[in-house]
Amino acid sequence: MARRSESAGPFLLRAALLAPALVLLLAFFLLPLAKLAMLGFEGQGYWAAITAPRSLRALRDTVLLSAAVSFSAVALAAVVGHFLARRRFPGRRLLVAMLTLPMAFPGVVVGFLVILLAGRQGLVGSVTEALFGERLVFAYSFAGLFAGYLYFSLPRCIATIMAAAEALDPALEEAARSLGARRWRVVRDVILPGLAPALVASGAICFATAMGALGTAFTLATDTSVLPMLIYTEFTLATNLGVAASLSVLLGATTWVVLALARGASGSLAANA
Amino acid sequence: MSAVLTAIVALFLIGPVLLSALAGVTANWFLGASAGLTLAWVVKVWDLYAHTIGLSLWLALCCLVCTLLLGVPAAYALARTPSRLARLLEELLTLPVAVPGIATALGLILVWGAVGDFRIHWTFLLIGHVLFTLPFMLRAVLAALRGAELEVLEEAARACGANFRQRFLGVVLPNIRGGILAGALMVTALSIGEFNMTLLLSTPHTMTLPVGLADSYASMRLEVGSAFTLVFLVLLVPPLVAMQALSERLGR
Amino acid sequence: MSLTALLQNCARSFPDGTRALHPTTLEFAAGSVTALLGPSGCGKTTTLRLLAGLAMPDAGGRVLFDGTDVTGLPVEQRGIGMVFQNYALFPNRDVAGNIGYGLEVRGVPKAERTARVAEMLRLTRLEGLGHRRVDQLSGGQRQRVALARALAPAPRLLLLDEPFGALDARLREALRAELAALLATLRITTIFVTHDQAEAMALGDQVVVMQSGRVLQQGSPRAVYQQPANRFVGQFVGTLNHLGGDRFCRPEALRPDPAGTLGGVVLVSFFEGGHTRLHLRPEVPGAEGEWVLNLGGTVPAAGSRMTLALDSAAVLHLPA
Ligand SMILES: Nc1ncnc2c1ncn2[C@@H]1O[C@H](COP(=O)(O)OP(=O)(O)OP(=O)(O)O)[C@@H](O)[C@H]1O
Ligand SMILES: [Mg+2]
Repeated sequence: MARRSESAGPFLLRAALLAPALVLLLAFFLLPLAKLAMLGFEGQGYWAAITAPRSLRALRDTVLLSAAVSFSAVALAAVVGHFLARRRFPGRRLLVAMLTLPMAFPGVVVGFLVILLAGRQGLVGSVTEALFGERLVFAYSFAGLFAGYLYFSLPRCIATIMAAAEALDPALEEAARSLGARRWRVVRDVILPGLAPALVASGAICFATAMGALGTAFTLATDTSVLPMLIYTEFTLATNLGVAASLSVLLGATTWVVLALARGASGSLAANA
Repeated sequence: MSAVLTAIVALFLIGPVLLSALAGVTANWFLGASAGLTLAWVVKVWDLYAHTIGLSLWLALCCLVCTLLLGVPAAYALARTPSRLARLLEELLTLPVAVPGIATALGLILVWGAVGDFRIHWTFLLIGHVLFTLPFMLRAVLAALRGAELEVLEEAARACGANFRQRFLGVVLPNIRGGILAGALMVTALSIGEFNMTLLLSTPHTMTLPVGLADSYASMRLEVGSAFTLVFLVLLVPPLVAMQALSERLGR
Repeated sequence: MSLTALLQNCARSFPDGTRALHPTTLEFAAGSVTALLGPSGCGKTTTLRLLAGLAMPDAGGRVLFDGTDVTGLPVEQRGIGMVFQNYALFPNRDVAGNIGYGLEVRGVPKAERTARVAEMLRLTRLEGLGHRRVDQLSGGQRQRVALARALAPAPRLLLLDEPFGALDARLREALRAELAALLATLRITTIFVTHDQAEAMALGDQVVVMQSGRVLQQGSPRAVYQQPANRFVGQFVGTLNHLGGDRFCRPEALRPDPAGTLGGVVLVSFFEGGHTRLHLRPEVPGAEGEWVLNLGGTVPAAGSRMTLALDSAAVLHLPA
């Protein structure tokens, strides 16, 4: 311990290195959040705001959507990530680059891509009209939101899980096979336990991102109202600061609780691995 | 089977991008590509939204500089302090990622929105972007600091008589450049694409590219939105690819 | 119980053009213990992986177990036991869970499995460690868990890749003796990889010496030592003293003798406990390099001249 801290120079120096970031955090993050939380207690109060049927419905839909997207994205990314980590084929690097590129797309762009895909003039619509004589349009429904959220969740999950799969010792898979394990046994007994911490971690990040995502819903303007959209509407259209603040706190708290639970789960997984 | 699934996922992720690029140069999307190709929409986008592109690039650059100056020293101090307080501070500093952007934005407006002309100045956006991207820089640099056998290297440098400044610049920074680059890549991309927080923070005076995009999607015809998306991709992709290649080269 | 394994005309190339193994035919007799010996990169692991079914031979190569073609059979269906270089113990299972895995996969009932695991724990002297996590084991214990895991399903062919590679010298010797005793009782056809000639000679009743993807010689340790196929093999499995031309001898073929016909000047001596190792500059026309011989008792000082006699029956004629 002493050796460690000695090698980093005196305490004051380290404090000085850390101070600017902490000041920023305090002034522009902790203080505003505290103010936000306080505001919720004034006026109508938290309880009224968050127990309004509209709020509860939005919360339920947001959590449902985020959970569904997280599970699907992690499941798909586990297969794709492991495949990309283990196989070597021409064009693999290009494929990896293309798969991870959409990570940088803002939610609004993703929403627009969904419109192009499944909107009124979308590709899916044209194809289904040509085939069945009826346009399939799902961009503005829950399915459209799901497609969009899946779109921006997949790249990050793939990147994380691929890195974890690359760190898995291939000899473990070979050892299981040498003992007679078939494909699914190897997946169940070696690959999934080895990837578990990464799966939980990327699922948690995915969930948190989905809970706070605004852009996709903003572009799609769906019938399903997600919580961030509701907050935006309350603030800009209804200029109802107290309600917006209460809902923000609700959204933040829900996200934080789920993340903490996932952290605990992945901690115990990592300890077992 | 995994190969088929990978192909489907790739199609899902890449197909719409190609579709959008095509729509951006199509004269009339309703009639399809047969109606002819044109750059008219791109030109129109440039006229209408060039200022949002400029602001976003400038913001991303400033954000990168800020996160480097704030994040690298902070990460170093955190990595070298094995106390519980340090873990707590690390937790705090990465909190802005877990809190929904719209909540942070609301708080910022509440506390700082009425201070002078701050609200309509671009630095108001910068604050938000730095808050949101700093955790990513911190994490990338922390991972690099903890991965490399830096402590031993630094002790070796001490044994050679190097002082703190010499060690930090000569031994620490060169050995974590992979992590710094990875962080820089992330910060730049996230700043250019940030919308959740920016939507509330931006004003007509300070409109960023994603907010402009949202505006075009809402109020312009499909081809204009597509053209704008195309411009966005053309701006975003080359630097991302370059930085990715660079960080891969330096990473090993 | 044990089987005869045969590699028939097996080669192995990689897409980048590397030929890890040139076409090779090798037979491993039932119940024999064979050491694959050679310098790093010579193709030992490749050969072992071909036998295991973890790699496919190039077209034209076949792998036969007791005359049955198993070339197309993947590793999980070959019924072999394998010990990996760094053991590859499953971190999410305890010691007993690792050892019992092969039985679990085969659907062996719980009670039978527990009994077999207990037997393996006893056999490998790991009693009482069944519920230990594998990352809380010493290097030697891990090695034994890996061995127990490979042996538990009663394989007919046991493959070991550098089983002692990750251990320190003293532990290696202890475990080597243990493994030798175990293999003698089990009589499973065993093939192990090593680049340590002492280990190969001590443990194997057959030694296969390889270089750059080719087999140079296969034979008993004694045969390989006393009649090496060429200079490389001779040097790799022991020390050679050059006598001029294609003539060589082992250190023990030379002995101090005032009536001897050969001479040399002592360069340096190393006391090695039971004996002293002498390096001499030969004073024989045509002899290149240094000679080495081992002496008991008192040793001439550096710089002094020695007269030596040669056991002429022990002269080796070795091509380059
Ligand atoms: N995936 C691969 N692609 C290309 N060449 C390879 C590959 N795997 C192994 N080789 C090459 O094949 C040759 C034989 O490798 P192998 O692993 O069999 O050697 P080895 O005798 O086990 O060496 P060591 O004692 O170092 O383990 C080496 O030259 C190696 O570089
Ligand atoms: Mg090897």
